Amino acid sequence: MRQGWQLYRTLAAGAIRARMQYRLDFVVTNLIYGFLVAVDFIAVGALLHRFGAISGWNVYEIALLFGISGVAMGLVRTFASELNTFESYIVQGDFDSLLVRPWPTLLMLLSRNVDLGRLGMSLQGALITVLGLRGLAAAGAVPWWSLAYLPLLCLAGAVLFLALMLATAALAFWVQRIDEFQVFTIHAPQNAGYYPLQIYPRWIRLLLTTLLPVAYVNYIPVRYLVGRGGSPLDLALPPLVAAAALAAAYWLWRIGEQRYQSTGS
Amino acid sequence: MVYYLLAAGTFRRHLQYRWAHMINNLASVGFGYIYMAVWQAVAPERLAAAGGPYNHAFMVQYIALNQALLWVCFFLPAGLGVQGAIRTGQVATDMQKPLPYFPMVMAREGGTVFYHLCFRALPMALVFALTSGFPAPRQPLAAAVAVGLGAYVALCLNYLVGISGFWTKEVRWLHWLLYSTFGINGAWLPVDLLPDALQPVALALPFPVQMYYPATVWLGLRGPEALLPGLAWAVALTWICVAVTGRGRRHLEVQGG
Repeated sequence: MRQGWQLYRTLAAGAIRARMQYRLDFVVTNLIYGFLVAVDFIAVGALLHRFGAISGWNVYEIALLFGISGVAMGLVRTFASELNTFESYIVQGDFDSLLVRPWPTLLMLLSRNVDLGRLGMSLQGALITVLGLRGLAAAGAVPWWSLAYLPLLCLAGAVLFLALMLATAALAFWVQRIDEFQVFTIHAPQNAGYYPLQIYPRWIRLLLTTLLPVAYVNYIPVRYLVGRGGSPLDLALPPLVAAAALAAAYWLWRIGEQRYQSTGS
Repeated sequence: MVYYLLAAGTFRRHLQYRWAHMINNLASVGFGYIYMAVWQAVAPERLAAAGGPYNHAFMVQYIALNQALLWVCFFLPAGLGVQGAIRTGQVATDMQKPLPYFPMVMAREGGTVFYHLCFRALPMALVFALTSGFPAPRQPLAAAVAVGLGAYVALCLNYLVGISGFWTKEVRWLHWLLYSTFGINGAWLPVDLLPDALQPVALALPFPVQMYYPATVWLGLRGPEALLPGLAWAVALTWICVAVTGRGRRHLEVQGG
């Protein structure tokens, strides 16, 4: 375990050094990813500006949903960027090169690249979260310890997104191409999570709390924080759900790995 | 004729991936449902107070229409692939051909637009028609022209992103900027519902020509006079594209080996 961590640190540091050879690219890429998150939120802000609330949730509450999800996704896209493009490993047979190392394939895969450009998403998400928190705190609508709780929630959310991404990548062992699935299992659920869950039809709510449990990234704990129902237990659920999801996803990955057949020449 | 062949070639190339695209279409329909749910969650009296035709039922139609049209007037190949041709040097061969470069690329990617119309917009419209409803065009001819102008302007804007590859290695930055106009082009938030300060800015840009004007013409909110901004932008962008292509051609360095 410890050796694995050391190895990861060495390899990841190498990946970061390689990336830092292009400093301007690093800066601008971060700015643009941050900008994209901001623009997304500005559009929803414009809607809220005119209509006041989405299913009773005001702009600060929606900002919390948006921001937490942004921080979590930014972290995953930074540290697990190779999972996002995993399709090419299977389609082009590059997965072979991970199998010949005496380490778990997942460790080898994740240490290949740390996409620091995506941190801009997390920073912008953090900014939106703080703005939302400030607005709510000014109205006395959130408890004071939210400030300590939310960073933990963001980490749990990142683990949950990681689990979804890992499970989707594992699918590639069976179906080879997963780019189209990622829209279903990651992008669409993440976007759905920008808004309070209660606005959706029953089947979507069910989906987002069970098979694709993104509701635990933000909605379920935030609902309790802002005093819109739920129970104190909701605050403890995200890390538990995230850990269970990650274990399940890794189990799927291991099974898939056994099935891997390289491409022919 | 040669332009038709170019377009047909692209169309056939996309045809190979139509089943993968069908999966993506379903996901895109899912995004449509998300936006519909958001609009249904806005208080009806506030929606009515905004003036205009807005109510819950109308917004379902608006979202269904635009979610399908997104693939014709917004989601086109990044830079139309021009940046790749510049990087590999293929552009030099292309520019030697007895065809002007800009119309050649436009014809080629026109095939993409037509493919998207047949295998993305149409199936999505069908799914919406069966589930949430899909609006019939109130003024079919004007709506067709408006969508055509939207697609043409989208092609031009993407072409400009691609051709910028003559001067920069980082075409994707511009691509993302173009992509970020999603919030102000009326795709899911009608431009006249934007905050008052933002509205004139959005309307002065070419982006509403891609989604907002076609949707309002299709739904009968505006007459054929709403085609004028699209027409003006189509002419202006054509001129800009041709001019930039000329500059790029002079910039072109062919490296022998």
